[in-house]
Amino acid sequence: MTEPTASPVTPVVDSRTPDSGLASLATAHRLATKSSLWVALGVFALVIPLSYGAGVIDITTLNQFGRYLCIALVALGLDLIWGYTGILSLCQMMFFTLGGYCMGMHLAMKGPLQGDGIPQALYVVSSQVSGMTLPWFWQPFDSTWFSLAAVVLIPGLFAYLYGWLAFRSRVRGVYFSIITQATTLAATQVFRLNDLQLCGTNGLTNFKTLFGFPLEEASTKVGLYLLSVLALTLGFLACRWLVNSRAGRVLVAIRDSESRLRFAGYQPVAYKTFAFAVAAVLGAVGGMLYTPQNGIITPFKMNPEESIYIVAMVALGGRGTLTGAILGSLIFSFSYSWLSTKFADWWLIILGSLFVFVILVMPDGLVGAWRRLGLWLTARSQPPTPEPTVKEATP
Amino acid sequence: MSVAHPLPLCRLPSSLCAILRVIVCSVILSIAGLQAGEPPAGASGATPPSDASLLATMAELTDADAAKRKAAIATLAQSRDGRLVPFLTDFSQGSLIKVGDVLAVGPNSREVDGAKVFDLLHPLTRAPLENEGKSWSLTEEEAKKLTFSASRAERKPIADAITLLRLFDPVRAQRLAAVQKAGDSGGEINLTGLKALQESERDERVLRAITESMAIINLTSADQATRVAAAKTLGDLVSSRALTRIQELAKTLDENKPDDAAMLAVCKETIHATEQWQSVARGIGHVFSGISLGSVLVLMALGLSIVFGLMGVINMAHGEMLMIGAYATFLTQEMFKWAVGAGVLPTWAFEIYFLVAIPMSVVVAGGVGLFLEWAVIRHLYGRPLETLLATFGVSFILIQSVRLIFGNNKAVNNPGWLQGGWEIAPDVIFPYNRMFIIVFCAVVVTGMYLLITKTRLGLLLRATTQNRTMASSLGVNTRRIDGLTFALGSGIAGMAGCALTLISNITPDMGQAVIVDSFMVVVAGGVGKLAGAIIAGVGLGCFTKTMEPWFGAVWGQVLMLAAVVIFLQWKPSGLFPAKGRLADA
Repeated sequence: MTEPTASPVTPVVDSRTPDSGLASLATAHRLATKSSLWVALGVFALVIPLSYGAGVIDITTLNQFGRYLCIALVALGLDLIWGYTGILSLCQMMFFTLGGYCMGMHLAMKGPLQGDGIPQALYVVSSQVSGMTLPWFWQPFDSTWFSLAAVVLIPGLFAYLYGWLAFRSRVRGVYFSIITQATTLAATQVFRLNDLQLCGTNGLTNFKTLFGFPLEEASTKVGLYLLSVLALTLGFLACRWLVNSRAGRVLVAIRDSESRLRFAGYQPVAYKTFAFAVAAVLGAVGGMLYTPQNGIITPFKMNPEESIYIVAMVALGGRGTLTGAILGSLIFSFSYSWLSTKFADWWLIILGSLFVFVILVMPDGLVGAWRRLGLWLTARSQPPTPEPTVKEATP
Repeated sequence: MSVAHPLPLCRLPSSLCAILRVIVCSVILSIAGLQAGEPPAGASGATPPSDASLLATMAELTDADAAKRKAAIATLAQSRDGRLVPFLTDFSQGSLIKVGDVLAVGPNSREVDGAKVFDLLHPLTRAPLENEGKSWSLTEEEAKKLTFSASRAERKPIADAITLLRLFDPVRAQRLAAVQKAGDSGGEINLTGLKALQESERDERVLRAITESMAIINLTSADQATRVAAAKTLGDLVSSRALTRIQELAKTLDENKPDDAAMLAVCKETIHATEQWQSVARGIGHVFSGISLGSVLVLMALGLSIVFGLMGVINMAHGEMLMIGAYATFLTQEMFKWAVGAGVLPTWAFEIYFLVAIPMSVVVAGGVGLFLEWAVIRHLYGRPLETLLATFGVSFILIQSVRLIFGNNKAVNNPGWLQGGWEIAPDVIFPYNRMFIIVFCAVVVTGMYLLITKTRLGLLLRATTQNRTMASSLGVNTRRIDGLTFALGSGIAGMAGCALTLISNITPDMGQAVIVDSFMVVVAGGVGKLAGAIIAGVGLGCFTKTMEPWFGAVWGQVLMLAAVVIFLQWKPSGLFPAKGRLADA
């Protein structure tokens, strides 16, 4: 399966005699690359649910995988905006949390209600004990369709407006990163306020049913897991279609030389805003699926570090490659839950070192390293071509 | 006196009105103070009695005649000598001793060979008395026979005399406290004492406190006119001490009674004026602390901005340089503590630890910066986003390492000379530590300005910032300039951390709290611009810190962010954008 050559890769030119032993390795490498996506899909869509059915893994583990897949959606979105368009957004988890809150409010409305139809989560943090009425902005979330629309529209429109304001005034590069970081920090603090009637630091919890299915039931959890697999697959396909399209080429052009693109008569603002909004919606959908699987959504998911983790995932997997974003996020999530419990004190140091290491040593991530390996194998196993095509390295 | 008629003034903005009130009042008071400072000629009893006559009166306390003792107490109470406070205390506690003709006090006992021994002190100077070249002491049995103590009936007059005499304490702070206490406890005797002190007092603040205390006492006067005048005076003084009293008083008054109505009107006016002033004072306090935090932000933004301007590098670990500077300060303090404790340094040396901590924090933070530049940043030249991420990783490593080494929460003790504050107007206190921070930051910024504009390093720095290739081809070692600048920026952040220890705790993640704000400063001020960083730093620091009390910390920050985003719509490259060819570089 081929992807656009978004990541700058310089083939290793080797003039030594070809090695026949390496040729088979090179073939294996090609085969592995081609089949990787089908294998991954097979593992997540079939092997994991079936092994749950066979009792090899328990429902908690399955649930955990489901949450990782939701995070992978956020990483996919970030890859679109950062890996392809070159805009480092440090607020992707804010969109995730916004989506999660939209879903969470719906779930809370369907959960146990107190007094005048006040969701439990809101009731316990409210200072008003008697005579409390449901805030107006909670009311529409009783409707399933409204909630689902809100998941897409609220983060999407917010990102669209925000991106338009920022890109219109040519806020670029690190400026944009810094402003998005400040935004997610401010959003965390706003959502932590009790006065906002969004449940403050406690977050939204006490969920009971989703579309009438009890969340406690294992079957609902399996369903949510499969839904996450489906969402990630569709997200991946949509992104792949987008980056392979004409618009995708414009995005890469923005990354490589925005000024040149502008001089050629394109409007980078529209493309950037669009990509930013799509990335936000991907994150929000991830949040929507995450909330019922996690059972709680709090403002702390918007903390700037959380978005930085997403960046680390994409950097680890290889930015500018959609598979890299997903691979990186899965590896990161697994090692996070493993390392942060096993070496709680050292976890941040490990994470920091990972950042420095990946960026200094593997600038194009694991997928980049894999591709280099393939190129090296091919170069070593074939007679050197007279004029190797060296692609221009991009900044 | 225009202050007595607030109506014409109240057409002005009310806060301005309150400020004017205080200014007028302090002028009036200082004039009154000057007048009172002149020794009133011919006023009887104004000059304190001589020590000899005082001692004679004191000796009369040992007289067998109760009437004579009573007279002596009354005379001593009128003597206006603060030294009599401990003497009278000793007398009422039964430590007055008379050996032959010598009057002494023996409040302190010590153990000698298992027996109690009393040392004799001079009743006025409280210097140890000597007898045949040795310090004079009595055994418990001897002392018992020679001791005189106040009778039950005398205790009350003595207590009153002590209250009165405390007002004449030679130490200003003690006097001030006594004056305030006199006002709080009230009573005719305190009023007389305050009146007497008012004649001889020269210090403005004590005079103000006297007027205030007298008015507080007069609030409960039997005379209606005195009460009204007192309430009015308190309004003019915008006395926060009296506010609750007057509020309570106003509650007891009945609007329908003609007598009360006038008083109620005055009370309301006083409460209004005082509350107004208090909110003004609070506002001034907030702005002042905003400026002090803003100046720390300026230092942070300065380092960030220079580094970004020069190398295009966003240093996410810049906040950790501040943290390292703060920990260096903490370590310096601990070293001084140890050295003073072990006797290596004299005790007073602890007072100057902070002056040593400043260069320490610069060296340590600058050293870490230099290492960081060498190990990580120079490999990422020309890739700003990668640098941002790598330095983010570095900041994780630094935070957690410091947490593992030092634990979570540390604090330094402000040296004595930075404690307390300067009360420029009633209720408006500028703490010395915050004043120090402002001055310190101003000095550092001036130093940086001179360094950049006047020195050779500054010249090379500017050249490299403007055109790296050209500078390089003219023989500037740009890599070295990079390293030095990075260390310099980190060093300034270290100094900011050192300054911040004066007003906040030291935690491993303290840098995170200021880093986002400092970035906002850089964004708003324009990159690599000294003037931009200063103006934006002070502006944003004051803006958020001043908004906070009104909107809460959270909305203050949201407002600031919104302001920056809107500002960027108008000026996309900050306050001082680069012009010409540099603009698109």
